[in-house]
Amino acid sequence: MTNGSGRWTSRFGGFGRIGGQRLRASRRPLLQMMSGVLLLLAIAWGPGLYGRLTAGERLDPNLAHTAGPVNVEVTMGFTPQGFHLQALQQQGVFAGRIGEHTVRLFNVSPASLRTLSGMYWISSIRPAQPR
Amino acid sequence: MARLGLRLLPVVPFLGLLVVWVVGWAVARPTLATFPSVSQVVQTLGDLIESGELGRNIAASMGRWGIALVTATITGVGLGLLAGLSGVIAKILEPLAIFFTAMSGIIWLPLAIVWFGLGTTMIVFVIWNAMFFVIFSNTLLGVRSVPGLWEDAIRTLGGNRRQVVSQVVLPGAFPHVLAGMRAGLGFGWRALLAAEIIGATAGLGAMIFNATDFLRSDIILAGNLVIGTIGLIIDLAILVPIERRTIERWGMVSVTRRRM
Amino acid sequence: MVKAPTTRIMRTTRPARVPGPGGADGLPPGLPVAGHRPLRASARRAATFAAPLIALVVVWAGVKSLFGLSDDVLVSPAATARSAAELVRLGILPAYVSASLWRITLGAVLATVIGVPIGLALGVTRYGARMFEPFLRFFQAISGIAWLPLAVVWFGFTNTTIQVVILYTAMVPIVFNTLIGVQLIPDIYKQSIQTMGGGRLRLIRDVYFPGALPSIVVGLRLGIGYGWRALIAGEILTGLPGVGTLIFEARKFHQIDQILAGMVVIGVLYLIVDRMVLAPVERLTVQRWGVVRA
Repeated sequence: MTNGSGRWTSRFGGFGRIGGQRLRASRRPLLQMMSGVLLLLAIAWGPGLYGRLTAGERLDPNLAHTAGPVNVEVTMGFTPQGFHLQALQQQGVFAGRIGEHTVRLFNVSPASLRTLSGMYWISSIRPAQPR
Repeated sequence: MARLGLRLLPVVPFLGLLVVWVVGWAVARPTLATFPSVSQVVQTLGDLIESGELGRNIAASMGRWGIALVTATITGVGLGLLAGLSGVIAKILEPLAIFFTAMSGIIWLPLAIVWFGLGTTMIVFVIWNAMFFVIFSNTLLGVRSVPGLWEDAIRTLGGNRRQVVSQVVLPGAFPHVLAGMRAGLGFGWRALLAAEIIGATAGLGAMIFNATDFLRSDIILAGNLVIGTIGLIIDLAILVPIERRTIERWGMVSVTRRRM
Repeated sequence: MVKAPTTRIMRTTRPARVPGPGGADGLPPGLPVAGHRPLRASARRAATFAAPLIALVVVWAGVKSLFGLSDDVLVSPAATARSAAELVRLGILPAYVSASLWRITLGAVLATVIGVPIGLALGVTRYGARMFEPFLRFFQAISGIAWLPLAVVWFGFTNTTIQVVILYTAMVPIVFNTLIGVQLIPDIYKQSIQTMGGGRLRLIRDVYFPGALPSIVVGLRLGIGYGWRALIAGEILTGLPGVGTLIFEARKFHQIDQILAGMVVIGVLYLIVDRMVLAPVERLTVQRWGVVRA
């Protein structure tokens, strides 16, 4: 016999104590819901994940194993706006800009370095050159 | 005596809240910036009424809301009927309605400000937007859920197309239309408040928002009381009687009001 | 059912669910109801989900070119898409979207966890609906957005403000609908458990909660709908990172493409939340317990 969606199900087959028919019939909405939740998770966490995966190409190798706070130059592919400056200032002390696309940050801890390297909109993070 | 008690039951939670308010305030004695006392609110309310400020703001808010309501009902029900009766129009409008219902109302605020500037036109537009899509969707649903049997009945009695629409579809869709209007009223009221809080100089929303600058929580609370009361009045005094006189008289199940 | 002569009214007068995947979909009559190939069914479902967006883009582009609207009024879908892509490149859009999603999720979860028990408790009292319905309607009329000014006075322009307002806004419909849900349960279910010797806990678990579940889900859907708008309003007011802030800030510079991009993103996000997450849950519960949604 078929249930509403046209699938053949057995009246007595089942998954555990929920009757088999009921579970099969309710599988599609469940799948739909799971895919919706997954989609939302991907939207919320995806970019961060991407940034973390590509962190290697962002961080200068010299900075990879620093022990203490360093001064860095952060370069982006565009002119930083308020949003970016705010995000950067949470990781270090703003110490001026170099040209259109680079920001100087002082006193960046290793943890902050890790956070910065996970931000996918940053192009590169290099040790600050002395003026 | 028991019947009187039953009718007065709804008052109990309000009284309870009042008691909590009075006692809580007496115990905690917060500043005006944190929470006002009952007497402060009552006094402020009196002042606002006396100075006419409350009246002006209510008039401004209700005016905008009223215009939007009329417009939204006409357009929403009209287009909903059209879409319900014509498959072609439905195919175009329905997917659009789905999408726009997801972003109706206050989400249009920035765009409306760009288009109309700050002011009444903008606010009316935002409210209309919030109401229209709900009313439209529900009207469409209502037209669709009229049992085909009823149309058949009219036709076997020799009714023509116009009679089918006026005697079957319109009354049959009415419960859903009313449900849509009820929802629309709610959404519209919210949109009104939000739009006024953000972009208006007169109206209830503007009144309570301006009070934030001066940390006058008593004005805010007085305003909210008025807002809640107006909303309640609209709900109970307008919709329920309409419902009673039409739907329940016609013997259809109301989709908005549950019986006890 | 006798195949009546199809007129145009008849074709659309089928009892329909609210438009959504797998509902009345305007297929020509004659296609068998049962026995679809699963592939065609899911393809149709995907199309029904994409249809709103496709129609939107088509009508959008049409309106712009037909009326010759300047870029100050409306930008083309292409320009909007470009703007959205740019916002992603800048890292702004994902961060803002994340922030908003977190807020609404936290608000919805808290509202459910707090609201459902309250609703259950109110619902089991005698005359619960009669007593609390006007009370809850009153607070629903005030709506969370009207508490924003007070929240700002208390918490300043911070995230707490937004979160509190979302919580309130979502909680009222949830409590209300839970209450109604419990009250709608026919007495006989409660009595049958009691005759079998069930205590109050058993009652809640086996009668009240499952029985009220369809209403609870309706309340949750409403709550998230209202809460979403409260979120936007809160973000606009406080200026904290979020999709609401995105569209509001863009207004200052008349960047209509950015406003529109933000609006579309908001719409899509809400569609995902409502149609892909909540609607199936609602269908599951209604299917299982077959209660007509109020």
